[in-house]
Amino acid sequence: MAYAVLVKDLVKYYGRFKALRGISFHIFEGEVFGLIGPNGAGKTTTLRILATLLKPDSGKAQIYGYDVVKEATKVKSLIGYLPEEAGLYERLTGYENLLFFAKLYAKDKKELEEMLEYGIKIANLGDRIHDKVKNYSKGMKRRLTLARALMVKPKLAILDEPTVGLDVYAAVTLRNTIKRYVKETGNTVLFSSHNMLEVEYLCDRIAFINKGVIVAEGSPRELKDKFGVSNLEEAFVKAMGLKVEE
Amino acid sequence: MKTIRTLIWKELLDLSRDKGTLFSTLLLPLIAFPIMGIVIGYVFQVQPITLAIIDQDNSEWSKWLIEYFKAVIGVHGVPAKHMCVGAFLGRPVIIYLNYTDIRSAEVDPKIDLIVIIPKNFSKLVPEVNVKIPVYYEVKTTSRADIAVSILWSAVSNFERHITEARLKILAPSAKIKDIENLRNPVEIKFYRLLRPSGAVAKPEEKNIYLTMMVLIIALFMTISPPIAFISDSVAGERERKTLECLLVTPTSRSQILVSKLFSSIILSFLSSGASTIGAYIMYMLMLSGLSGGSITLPISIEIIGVFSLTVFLTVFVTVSMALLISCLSDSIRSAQSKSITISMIGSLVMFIGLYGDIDRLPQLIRILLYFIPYTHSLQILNQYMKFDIYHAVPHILCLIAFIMVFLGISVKVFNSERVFFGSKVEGTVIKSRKRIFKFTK
Repeated sequence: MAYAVLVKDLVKYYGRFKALRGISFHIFEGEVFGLIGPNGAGKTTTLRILATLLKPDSGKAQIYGYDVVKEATKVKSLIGYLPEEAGLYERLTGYENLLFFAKLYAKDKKELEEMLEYGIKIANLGDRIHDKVKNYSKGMKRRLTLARALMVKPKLAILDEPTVGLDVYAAVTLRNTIKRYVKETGNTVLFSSHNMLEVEYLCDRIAFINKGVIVAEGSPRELKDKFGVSNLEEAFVKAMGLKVEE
Repeated sequence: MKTIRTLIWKELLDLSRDKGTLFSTLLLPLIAFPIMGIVIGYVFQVQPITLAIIDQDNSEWSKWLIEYFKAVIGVHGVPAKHMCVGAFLGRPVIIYLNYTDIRSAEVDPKIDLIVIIPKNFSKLVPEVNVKIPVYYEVKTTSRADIAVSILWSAVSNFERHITEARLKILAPSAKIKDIENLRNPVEIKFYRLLRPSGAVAKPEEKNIYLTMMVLIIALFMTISPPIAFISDSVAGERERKTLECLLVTPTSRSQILVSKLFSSIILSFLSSGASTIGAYIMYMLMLSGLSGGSITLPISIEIIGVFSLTVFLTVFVTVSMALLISCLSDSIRSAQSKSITISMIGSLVMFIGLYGDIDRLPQLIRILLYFIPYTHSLQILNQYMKFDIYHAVPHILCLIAFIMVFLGISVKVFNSERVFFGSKVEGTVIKSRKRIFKFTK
C-alpha cells in the first residue's frame, strides 16, 4: 500500500525552542489519520510543515512522494488545508469566497463549476451562501472554511482541529461532512483534535504526540489494547505519562 | 497571469466593498479640499482691512492725502462722509473718517491701523527743508501688514504730489527744464523674464513656482492613501487569519505579493488623482479669495505629464516601503503606526521643498536627504521648475532603485516564515535581528 504521507525524523526549532524532536510517522492512501496531543505538543507545527507553510530544520516529509520543501508547488496542488483559526474574506459573500479559491485551483471552467457545486454542497448554507460572510455565525463560517478546503477534492486534506469552538450540533454536522467526504472521494485525511470521541469516530489510525515526540501510534483499538484501557481518553493519559487525580 | 488576475480580482472586490475607505480616499479629497479653498477664500473676503484716519489738520492738503488713500483702495460707488469702501490686492478695505480722538479708534477692535494727520500738516508742505510727519499705530492682527502697505502706497503717491509742488517752487531759480527728471532720476525698465537656468522664459511661466508649490503639496498628499491600503494587505491577511489559507493554494508567494502591489497602485492612483484635482481646485479657490482672481496657476500638458510621472514613482516607492512594513508587522495597527513615520518623513521633505531649494543646501545635508526617496520625487519637480529636465533623470533612476530594493527585501521577507508569524513565534518574541535571520534562514 502506497504512502500518502511519509514523515521521517522531522525537527523544527523556533529560535532556541525545539518544537519537533525528530518525529516519524506515515499515512496510507485513503486513510483517516489523527494527530492527538496536548497544547504545544507540536501538532500544528507538523501540519504546517506538511502544508508547506513552514520549513523543517532537518528530517524529511513527503506527500504522495513529493518533498514538501523541494517540491512545494506540486505538494500544494495535492492538499487542502484547514487551519485551526481559518479566516474568511468578510466583505465577500460565501459564494465569492469559494469562487476565489476555486479559481486558484481550477484548470478550466468545467472544473471550476464542479468545485463550486461541491463546495456549496459541503457548506450547506442554502441561500445564505450569497450573504456577506461578516453576517455568518461561527458554525456557518467553519462550514464554509471546511468547504473551501475540501471543494477541490484534495488527495490529502489537512484539518487542524476542525471542530474546535463549535457547539455540539455544529461539531456533529462538520464531523459527518468529513466522514461523507472520505466515503465519497476515498481521499486521505490528516487531522488534529482534542476530542477523543471525534477521533474514535473518524480515524483509522492515530498518533499521540507530546513535546515534539510521537509517543504512540496505531488504530484506536490497538492503542486501547496496548495501554489496557477501555477508551481512548485513558489511553491518551497513559501515553502522556500523566496521573489523573481521583 | 490567470492566477494574478484572480488575486487582483479578489483584492479589488474586497476593497470595492469597503465603502469607508473608498469614501475617505476617493471622494473626500474632491469634496473636502475645494471646501477648504472656499472657506479660506471666504474668510479673507469677509474680514475687511480697516483703517481709521484721524485728520487733526483738517486742511486742503490733509484732504488731498485722504483722497490718495481712497485712490489706492479704488473706492466703490459714492463714498459716505464718515467712511469709504474699496479693495487692495483683492482684499476688501474700509477706511473710517469719523474718528475725532485717537483713543476711541484704539479701543475699537475692528480697526487694524490708525493714521494720524497732525495739526500744522499743511503748513509744512511748502517748507522744502523739513519732513512732514504722518503718524500711524498698527494692531497685531493678521491684516496689519496689508494695512501698512495701503498706508505706504497712499503716502508714496502723495509724496509725488508734494515733491512736484516743491519742485515747481524751486524750478525757475534752478533752471530746471523737466522736473520729471529730477523727481525720478532713475527709470526702472523690465527687460525680460528668465528661467532659473538663465534661459528666456515665456510670460505665462511667471507664476510657475506657485503651480509647483501646489503640486508639491498635492504630491505629498498622495503618500497617505497607499499607506492605508497596503498596511492592511499582508498584516491584515495575517490578522484576519486568511493568510495561511492563501499561502497553501497553488500560487507562488511572489504572485500574491505582485497582486497586492498592483491593486494598491491602482487604488492609490485613483486616490492620487482625486487628491491632486481637489488640491488644485482648493488653491484656485483660495487664491481667488486672497487675490481677487489676480493670480492664476499656470498649467500645461507638460506639467501634468511630469507630475503624473512623479506621482507614479512616489506612490510606487511608498507602496514598496509600506509593503515591507506590512510584511514585518504583527497587526494592521502596528503596520499603520510604523507607516506614519513614512508620512512624517514625507512631510519633512515637503516643507524643505516648499520653503527651500535642496540644490542650495550644504553638500552633507544634501547627501543625507538623498537617502530619503521623497527627496528625489521633489527634485524631479524642482528640476522641471528650473526647466532642467535632464537633471531629473538621475532622480528618476534613484526612485526606481529604491523601489527595486524595497520590493526585493519585501519578496525575501514574504518568502520566509517571518511573514507567517510577524515578530512572534508561538509565543516567543524574536528580540534580536540576528535571531530573526537565523529563524528565516
